[in-house]
Amino acid sequence: MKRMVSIFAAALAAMTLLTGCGAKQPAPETTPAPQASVSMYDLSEAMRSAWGSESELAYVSSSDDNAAEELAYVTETDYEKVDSFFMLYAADGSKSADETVVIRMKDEADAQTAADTFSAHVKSRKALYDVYAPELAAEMDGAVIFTEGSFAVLIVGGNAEAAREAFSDFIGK
Amino acid sequence: MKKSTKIFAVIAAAVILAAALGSAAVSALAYRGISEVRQAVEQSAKDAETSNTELKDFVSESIDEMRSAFSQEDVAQENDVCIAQEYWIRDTSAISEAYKSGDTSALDDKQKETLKMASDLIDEIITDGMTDEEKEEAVYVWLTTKLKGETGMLTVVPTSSAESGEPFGVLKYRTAVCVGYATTFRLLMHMMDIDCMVVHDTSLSHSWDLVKLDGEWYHLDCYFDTGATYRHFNLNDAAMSNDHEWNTAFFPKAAGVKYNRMVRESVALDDIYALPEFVAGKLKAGEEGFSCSFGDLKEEDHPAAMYMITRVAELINMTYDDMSFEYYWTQNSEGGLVLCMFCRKYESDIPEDLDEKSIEKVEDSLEKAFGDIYFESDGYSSGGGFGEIGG
Repeated sequence: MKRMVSIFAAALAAMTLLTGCGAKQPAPETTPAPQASVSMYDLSEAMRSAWGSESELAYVSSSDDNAAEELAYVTETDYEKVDSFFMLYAADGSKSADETVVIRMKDEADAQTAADTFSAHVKSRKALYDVYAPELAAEMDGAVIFTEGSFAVLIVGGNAEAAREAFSDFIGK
Repeated sequence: MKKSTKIFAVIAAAVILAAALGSAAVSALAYRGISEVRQAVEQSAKDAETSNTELKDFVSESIDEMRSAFSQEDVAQENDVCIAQEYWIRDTSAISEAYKSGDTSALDDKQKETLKMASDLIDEIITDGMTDEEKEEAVYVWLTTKLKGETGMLTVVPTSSAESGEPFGVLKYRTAVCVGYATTFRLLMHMMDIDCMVVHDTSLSHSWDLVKLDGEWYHLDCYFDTGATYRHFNLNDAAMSNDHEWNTAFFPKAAGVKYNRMVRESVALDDIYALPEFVAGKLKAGEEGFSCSFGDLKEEDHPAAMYMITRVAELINMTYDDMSFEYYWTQNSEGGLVLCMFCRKYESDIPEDLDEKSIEKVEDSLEKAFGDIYFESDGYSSGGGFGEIGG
């Protein structure tokens, strides 16, 4: 279990002791994610290749120690509901706005909520580019956001349609 | 769960865990971006003690701060504003007050170090007898020429250190994001008893300064004036609003032109038709910022004046690959129009010690080999290689 999750679990226990409150919640019913066996790393490689970004790219994923913090930069999605994710983005954001984010939710029903949060991220990025690199701001207008099963996807820049096709092909849609 | 709530939960979790381990002096914990929250929490878990009351206070403060950081909505306040979701505009008056009083007892170690660095800088660049304007300009020139501007905040997961957004990191490491420039400038002004405020834009993406000289406020933006271009130096609201947007109801009105250097040093031309020759002369002389007025420019002449400057800008921007030309109109104290112009040269990729003959030989061999796809270099192409010869 990742450290963040461990900390959270320990804290929940401690919080209960300290506050003596907090009604017990019934365990939510979850829909098994149909694409649960898809390798996120392999998916990222397939999308990277089709996407064709010309930028030097950084890669972060749910395998990282600080994964929850990294994902928080692009979405307000509750990390407890995230199964796994990866983000490919321009290593120097002042030169390129390229980014691809793929989140696999534990419950397919949460995918749309996750995708909806991308809009705020895109708006925030556009505001930044408007000030510091206006020539890149238009890239954010072409952001592609969609869901497929338990996945929520954001693609900015590069060949977004090709990346989307690669995504669909990979997960077998 | 929203991002702010989630992050708070993580903070609370780690702090409570730390409490359970018998550690964490969290009441004085100052945190900024997400990365710093994590560091702060980990530090608190390492080395201190706390009580449940302290915990509750800390948690309560955390909620407020995080809500503010991620709300992305403008707030009518100067301090405790988060820019680009990572860099906090923080009050530094404790440091400037300690400088003036000589009493540093209320400062923590980081503040004391900041004070020492700022004091040393003032000793270095400020001399006896300087006016407030001269002090302001000395600080402006130092910040815009000695610091390296940080653009890491534009990366999806920001690569700029949170410390480049505060005077401590700016003065220590000489790199700054906009918040770093603005808060460091304000600290130095306050230490010299000059009124100054940090302004933020309505999209919470940028910040700069307002400084008060002879009872009037002026805008200046060190981040965008790298190299001391004076492009955003002592502007009034009208001039600043060309490329900045802020809460004009909250921040004080800046109406003065007395200390706008471009206005003060503007050259009076006979009419708008003298403009091309004036600009060409300035370009030839290598000047990067210059301004002019047009005597009695009547309202019916305004369209011709607008067309003239538009054509001048077009001509320069289309002709010179290595230069960008910008301008803005403002008014002098008599209400006359002043045209402020700025030429910025890009740095060429061609090595300085490369002679013309060698360049010609390189180009000839390229043309011979690549034929139809060959094109002349503009000097700014980005190659795909790495490293230095012999490196």
